[in-house]
Amino acid sequence: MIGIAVSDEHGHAVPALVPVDSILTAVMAPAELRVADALMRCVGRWGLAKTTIPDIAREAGVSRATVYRLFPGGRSSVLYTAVRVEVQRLLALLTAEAAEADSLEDCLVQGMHHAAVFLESHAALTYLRDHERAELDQVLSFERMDVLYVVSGAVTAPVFERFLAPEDAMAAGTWAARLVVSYLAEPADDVDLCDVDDVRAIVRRFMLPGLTRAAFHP
Amino acid sequence: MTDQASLARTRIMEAAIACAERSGVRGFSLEDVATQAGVSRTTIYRYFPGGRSQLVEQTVTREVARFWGRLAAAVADLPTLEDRLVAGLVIGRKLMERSTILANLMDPELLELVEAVQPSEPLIHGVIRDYMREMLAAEAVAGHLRPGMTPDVGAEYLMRMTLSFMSSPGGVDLTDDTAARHVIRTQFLAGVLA
Repeated sequence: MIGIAVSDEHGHAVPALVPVDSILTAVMAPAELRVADALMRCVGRWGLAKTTIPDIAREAGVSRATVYRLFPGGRSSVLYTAVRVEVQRLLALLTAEAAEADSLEDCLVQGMHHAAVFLESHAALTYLRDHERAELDQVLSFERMDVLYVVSGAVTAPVFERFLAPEDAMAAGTWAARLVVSYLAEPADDVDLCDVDDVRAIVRRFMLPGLTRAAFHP
Repeated sequence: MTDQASLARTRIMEAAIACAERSGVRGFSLEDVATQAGVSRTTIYRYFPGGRSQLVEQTVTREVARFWGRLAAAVADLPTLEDRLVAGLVIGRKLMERSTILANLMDPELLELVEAVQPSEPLIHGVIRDYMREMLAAEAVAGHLRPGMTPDVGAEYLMRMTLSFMSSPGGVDLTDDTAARHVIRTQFLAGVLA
């Protein structure tokens, strides 16, 4: 699954996903999901470098042979599946919650705040960020972040379409994901996205002006 | 460091870049660099006692710094802040795609490279932030900033967005000037400029 740019009928570049994974983790084989979740638990406890396939198999309650069969690419393919699963879970959560929000501002604020809290309290992610930073950067390489941003935009777009035109709706979700990741990767002294007031300030100051000014529609 | 020493180091690093451009960062050896630079391996170790990994780290760091410097120079004569940011993004992507080293930096398999560039990241981010702050200070003087916006707050934000977009365009086609300008106007500057 990749994000690409295609031209719309006016010749403007718009993002598109080709093709889109389902947001429902239920469509994964249960064993795959168990293995992916098991990896996350192991990483949260002792990090990525020390997590082996036997560890993952034991934690998941399956045989090593099963893990290799489901993930012929080995540990890194388990990892990338696990990341994808977590992202999809988070996005499903955010999308469901955002249905309650009354305004574009509230959608963005609640979504970004919840995402930040989720990620800050994520055991595996926090372990990597604090102890295995290079491995984390490698997992979240530029290309993979690219895919994550596009996915975030696509999955949350229906939420924003209540308030925005379709291409702006997709841009909003991508933009929000981008900022959440930026502040997670490089914390700031004066902005904490786990503080809802700080999130509201960012949304009001930088995002709403760009999403609601009609003059910017080409 | 003497002039001669710094010249020698530069020559070795440039040889390393030439080898990396040719064979990729994983593909070149100290022997290749020695041949390319016209020096012995011993000489390389004299300037880079940490060996290949130190050479890689310093070369990559230098290339990243040069990338940003080159960008700043390329956009310096453009009339408006918006023009500079648009051109910066477009040219930046092109430069990244053309450079084997920078492309390698984006390759998730190269943990060595990721580790190599980490120590210098805060420095680079500071340089970009300062660059943005200077431009915004000029906009402030001209009365162009939105009420309540300051060069400091704006610079932090523009630095984050620039770094993020440069490495992960997120579906936006940065070879398309119109698309790039739309992103700059809406996501970078709408909250910053009046």
